Amino acid sequence: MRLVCSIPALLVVFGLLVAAPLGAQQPPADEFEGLDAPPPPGAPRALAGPTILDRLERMRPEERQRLFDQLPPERRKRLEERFAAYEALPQAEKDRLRRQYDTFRALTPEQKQAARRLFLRFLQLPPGRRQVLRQEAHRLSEMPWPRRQARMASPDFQSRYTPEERQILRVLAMITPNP
Amino acid sequence: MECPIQARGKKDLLLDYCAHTLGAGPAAQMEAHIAVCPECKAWTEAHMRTWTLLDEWEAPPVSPDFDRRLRERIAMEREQTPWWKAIWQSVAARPLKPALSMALVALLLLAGLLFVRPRSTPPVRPGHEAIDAERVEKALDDVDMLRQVGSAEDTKDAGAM
Repeated sequence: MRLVCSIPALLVVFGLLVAAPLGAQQPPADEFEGLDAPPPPGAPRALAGPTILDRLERMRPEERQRLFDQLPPERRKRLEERFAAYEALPQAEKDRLRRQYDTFRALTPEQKQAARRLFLRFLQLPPGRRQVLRQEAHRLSEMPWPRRQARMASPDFQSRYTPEERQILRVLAMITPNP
Repeated sequence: MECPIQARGKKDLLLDYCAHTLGAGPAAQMEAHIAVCPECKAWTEAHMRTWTLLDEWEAPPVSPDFDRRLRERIAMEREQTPWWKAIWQSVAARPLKPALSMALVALLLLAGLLFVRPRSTPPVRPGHEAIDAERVEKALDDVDMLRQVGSAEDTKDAGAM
C-alpha cells in the first residue's frame, strides 16, 4: 500500500522538477544590464521604422476617426486632444521626442515598465534636483562609452547621487539624444 | 436431592462436583445422590475417566530448532514469490480507490505541467504592429512622459534638452 501511495507523490515531484525551469525565470538583478553599452557595429540601438504616431499622422482623417471611435466618448475626446497637441509641436521638438521614443520602444516590456517607474520617481524630485540630473544625463550622453562608464564608476559620481538617482541617470543618459 | 441430569440447568453441579469445586455440604449431598442414581453415577464416572486421561497425557516436546526452521521457511516462501505477485497480493488485500484517485490527479497535474505552456506571441516587426486606439493612447502616454522628463523648462542652463 505504501508503494501504491508513493507513486502519485513521485509523479508530482517529477512534474514539479520538470516544470520548475519553465516557471523559474528569475528577474535579472539589473533590468538595464548592457543596454547603455554601445551597440555592436552595425546594430542600431534604437528602433527604426515608423512609430504608431507616425502612422497615425499619415492616416486620412476618416481613417483616424474610425480608429478613435473605438473608444468611449470621453476617452476619444481626450485622445483627440492629446494627439492634436502632439501634432502641433514644433518639428524640432517632435524630432527630439521621436529619437527618444525610438530608443524607448526598443526596450523590452519589463524594461519599459522599469523606465516608467524611474521617470515617475524623477518627476517627483524637486525641480532643482531634476535640473542637476538632467545636466548630468546630458553630459553622460555626450561622452564616449568608456568615459561614461568611468564617470559613473567614479567616487565623485557615487557620492553625488543616490543609488536611485544613479539608476535614473543611466536610463536618462540612454534616452537623451546625442547632438 | 433433585437429579441434576433430569432437572433442567442443573448439570453444572455435576461438572463442579467432578472438578472438586463444590462446597463440602453440596459435595456430600451430590455424593449421596450419585450413590443412589445410576444415571448420574455413569455420567460422573465417564467424566472422571476423561479427566484422568487428559491429566496423564503429555505433549511431545518442541524440537530445539523449531523457531529457526519456522523463520527459514517463511523467508524461503517470501523469496520464491515473484515481486509482482507480492505487490499484487499486498494491493489486492486493500481498497484501491483512494490510491487510484490520487494517481489520476497526479497524472493530470503532470500532464498539465508538461503540456500547458504559456503561449508565446509571435514577434511583431516594428511599424507593422496592429494599430488600435489603446496602443495610440499608450504611445502618447510614453511620449508625454519622455517630453516631461526631457522638458526644457528647467534645463535652460544645460541648453540641451
